[in-house]
Amino acid sequence: METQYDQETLTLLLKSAGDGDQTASDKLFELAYQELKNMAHQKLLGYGNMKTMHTTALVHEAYIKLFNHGKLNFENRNHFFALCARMMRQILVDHYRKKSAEKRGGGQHNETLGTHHGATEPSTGEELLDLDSALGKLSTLNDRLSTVVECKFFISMKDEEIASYLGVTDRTIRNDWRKAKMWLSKELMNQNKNPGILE
Amino acid sequence: MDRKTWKRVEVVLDSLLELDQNHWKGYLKKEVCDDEIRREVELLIEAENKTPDFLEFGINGLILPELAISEIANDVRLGIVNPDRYEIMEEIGRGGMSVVYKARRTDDEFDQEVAIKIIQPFGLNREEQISRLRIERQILANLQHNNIARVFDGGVTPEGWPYMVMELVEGVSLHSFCRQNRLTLHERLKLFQQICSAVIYAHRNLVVHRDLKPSNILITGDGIVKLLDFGISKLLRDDHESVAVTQTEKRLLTPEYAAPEQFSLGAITTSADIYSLGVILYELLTDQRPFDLSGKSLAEAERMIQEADPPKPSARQHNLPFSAEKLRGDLETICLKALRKEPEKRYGTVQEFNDDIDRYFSGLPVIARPATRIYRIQKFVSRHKTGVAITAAVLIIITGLFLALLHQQAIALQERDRAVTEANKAEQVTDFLIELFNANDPDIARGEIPTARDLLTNGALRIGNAFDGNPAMRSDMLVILGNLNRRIGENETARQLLEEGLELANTIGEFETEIKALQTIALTDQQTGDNDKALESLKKAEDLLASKGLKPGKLHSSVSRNLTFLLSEMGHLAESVNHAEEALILARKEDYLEPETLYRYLDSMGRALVAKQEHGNAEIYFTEALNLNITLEEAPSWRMNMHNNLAAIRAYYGDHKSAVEHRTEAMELADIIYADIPGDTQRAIIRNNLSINLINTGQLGKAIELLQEALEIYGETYPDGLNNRVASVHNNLGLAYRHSEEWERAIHHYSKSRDINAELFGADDIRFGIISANIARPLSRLGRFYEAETMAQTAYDQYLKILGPDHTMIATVMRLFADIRLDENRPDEALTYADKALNIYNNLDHANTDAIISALEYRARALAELGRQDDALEVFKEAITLGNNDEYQKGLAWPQLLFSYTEFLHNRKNQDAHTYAALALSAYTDTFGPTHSGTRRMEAMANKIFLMAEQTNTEFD
Repeated sequence: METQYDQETLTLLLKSAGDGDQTASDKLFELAYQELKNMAHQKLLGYGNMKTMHTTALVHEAYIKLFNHGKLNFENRNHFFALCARMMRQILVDHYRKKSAEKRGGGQHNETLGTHHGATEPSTGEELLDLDSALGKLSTLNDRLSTVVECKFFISMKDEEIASYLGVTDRTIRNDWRKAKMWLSKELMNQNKNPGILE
Repeated sequence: MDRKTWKRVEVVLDSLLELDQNHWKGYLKKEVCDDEIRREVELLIEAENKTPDFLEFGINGLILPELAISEIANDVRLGIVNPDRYEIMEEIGRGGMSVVYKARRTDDEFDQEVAIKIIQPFGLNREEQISRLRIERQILANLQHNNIARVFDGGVTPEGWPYMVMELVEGVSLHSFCRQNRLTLHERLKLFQQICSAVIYAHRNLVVHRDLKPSNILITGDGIVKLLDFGISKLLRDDHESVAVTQTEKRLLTPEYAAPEQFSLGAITTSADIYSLGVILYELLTDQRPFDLSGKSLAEAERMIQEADPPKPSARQHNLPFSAEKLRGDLETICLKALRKEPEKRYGTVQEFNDDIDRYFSGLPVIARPATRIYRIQKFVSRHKTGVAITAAVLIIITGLFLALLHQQAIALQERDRAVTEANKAEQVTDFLIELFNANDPDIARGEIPTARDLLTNGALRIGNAFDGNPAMRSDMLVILGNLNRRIGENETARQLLEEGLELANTIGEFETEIKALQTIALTDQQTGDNDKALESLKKAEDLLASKGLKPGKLHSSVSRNLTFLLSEMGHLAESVNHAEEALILARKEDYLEPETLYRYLDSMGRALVAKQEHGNAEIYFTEALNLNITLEEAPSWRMNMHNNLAAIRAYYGDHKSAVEHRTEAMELADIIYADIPGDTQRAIIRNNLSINLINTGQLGKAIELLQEALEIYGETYPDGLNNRVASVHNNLGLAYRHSEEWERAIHHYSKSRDINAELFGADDIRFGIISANIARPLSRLGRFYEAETMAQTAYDQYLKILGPDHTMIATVMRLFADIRLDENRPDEALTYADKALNIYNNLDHANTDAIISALEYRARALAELGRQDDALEVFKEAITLGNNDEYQKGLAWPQLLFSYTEFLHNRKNQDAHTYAALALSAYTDTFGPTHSGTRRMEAMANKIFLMAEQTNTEFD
């Protein structure tokens, strides 16, 4: 494991972040981001020996790993998750952007000789990249909507968890999610200029 | 949109979300004054209906497959996964959903290497998926074709990964093979046909590949094509509950080879495989794909595939060992037909596609080129399935496809619970089904009936709660499924489905479905012999229609026809005619009727009259039906039916000349309608019937030719020949040869017919008697009197037992005996028999003139042999008078009579012999043609008579 971090520092930072210290929050983000990124590349996107396959599980694991002393209360945890959701978005988008660039640069796929039993090419995460740019626009209109989408889409947080983090009611989250979906659907449709793909 | 506008939009949205969705429209109209805001909100609401699935499902749906694959690979590396009985050797392939390993059986005495594909199921209901994989695997294991990599086995590893054990194929991909070997155009096409044959086989077994592409096609060292991954994509897509499936569907397809409809998630049928085959052929011919998708996003690729026309293959430059110019014309047309955007404009089946390449090889015109007339008729045939026999097997195959659709539709409905589009969808499904029936019509398959039957029965169970959200569609499906079950004789299942469909349709007021259900229930009852119940159902349907003011009308014409036929079948002949007549009178009063409705009423009327033996009246209605505009212009199969009906009536009246005309028309139509259906029996049936009319007009050569063709057609349908239709053709061949006086051949075919009949129906069946009678005459001619006598006696005993002593067929046997006795030179007995025949004819209301003439001739000859010359002369004269009656359509007995009379006169040195010799000779020539042995014999006699007459004249000079 390459990333080094000081357990003391993190806990401290997180506490400050919880208190609304912007610099502390940024630092925490950076640290946690490094950790998540490593885990994601090992477990989600590369080869690893873990059985977990959900980003949610990954974030939980990161959370336990980072704060195994259990000093954080519930609100902090949701705060952390919400941050992770943003990170996960970034990590995955970077990953797929890179893959997509490789693909474009790599030219036509070469057939391998010899025995091979056909396999299907996985998608390039096209949708993810489209969603990322749409989310960027949405956050300029109403940042909360974009946060709700991140929490739900990237790490499948529950409505109550998001509500607790944002300090609003569950019902608001549900409405936010619906409004966000409306806007995103419209936006993605415009991006593709072809509604067929969305059906 | 700026932040401020969005804020205002959000305020409106928040208010809406507090309301029931039904009130949104009203709220927007009343409460939102700003047009811009309202428009924006409306657009958003609309967009919500098109929320992409992946958004709902979340990121896990996107990542999962890739993740899982590395996990499987890792498990295998660590030796965790080790499917029972197999030892994993090395990884040989990897994809989005699976990893493939080379493996060896460990519990086998012989060392067999296999490929093991370990699959990652995903989505929410893992258990269900695994069980579905198992079912699919069993289906795939049944695919045994030289060009398909076999699936042997499968299971679930201790770690929970489902796996499949497959044939290990050592070979190179299609691309590499072509490149390495610099294949010629001919070799490429032959290779492609191997691929086709594998896909044809799979389709016949209800498996659609859905991911055909060169990397799934390997060529072994022996040049044998092996298709891999059959049904894999299908295995993975059939998922009930998860949105991820639709998402995955898109991820799974290979855009370069996917048909346009595969992007929009329409129902995927065999047609998608035809498209993929088209891309593969295109690539084989040009070394390039139809569309260059490199560097394009999925959305761009999709747009291109759905909208752009592929460049003509002949316009693409390449350095293959043949010129692009060679592709111009048929090959290009064939290839582009498979690549049509609209599935219905592609080839209907892979078989057709493959056949067209065969046609190209043999220089025949390909069907891809729209030859207008045939094209139109084929279109018609697919529009009106009435009159186009769908063989049971085909029906069942189609049912399989239908079930797949049913299943997919059930998913679609669960996922998109949007009331507005449901009605629309229901219609689409019905359309689609009908389309399936039509487009896949007769030649898709004559495949594995038992398994298909199982499928259908399973399907009956599987309908379970499908379409619960849409009772209209559910009732429709129940009736369709019920009808399919009825057609394969699963009457109990059929009844259950139909009753349920009927009840549901009645509850929700689906009127048309209710009528259809009643009709089908009646047919089922008829099938199981419960005619009274059937009658009750049909009458109920008719009353219902009347109560809605739909009598007469399209639906009613169909119900009424069934009712008419049922009444006839029950022996209520007068009632049947009355019913049909009443309906027809009502229909004629109507200002507007769909043209096919009137046709149906006329057809019913005619058939009711035929059943009542009023052929003359029936003819009037059939003729009217034939001359309807729609019949003449648009409906070759109706025209064919009517010509057949009219031919039967003309033949009944002994007017074989007109019968030949009608039947010839019918045959020409059948040849067009069934042109592409090898082994279809309709063409053979018409040939057989026409041959009888031809024999009766003495056109024996033509008859024999058609009968041989019929045998050829039946040879494809009934390879073992054990069929009563085949027996009938042999019988008629015997008859034709008998009239050609080729006795040995006649006996040969008659015997064949007799054997088949004995095998099929036993010796107690009337057919056995008829054929025994037929065989007697040629035996007698060859002097094999004892055998002839035995045969005639067999026929007589049987006729007597079955038909009673006064039947016209008894008279026929009496004539036969008379004939044999004359051959045997026993005129006294011949006389007795001839008299017996005449006696029976005298007591019949309607006796065939030809038969009477023949009996009179035997009587006259017997009298002459007995030395009663004057009596004989009288009888001859009586026969001649009868024959000269204008109403008598001269049959085969007529030249025979003229011959015997001439001979009689000649023997008596009567001057009239001269005249009758001339008459007889022209009758023979007219009837049998100049080369017939009868004509020759007559000619010889005539020459003798003429010569004698000359000599006599000379003497007098």
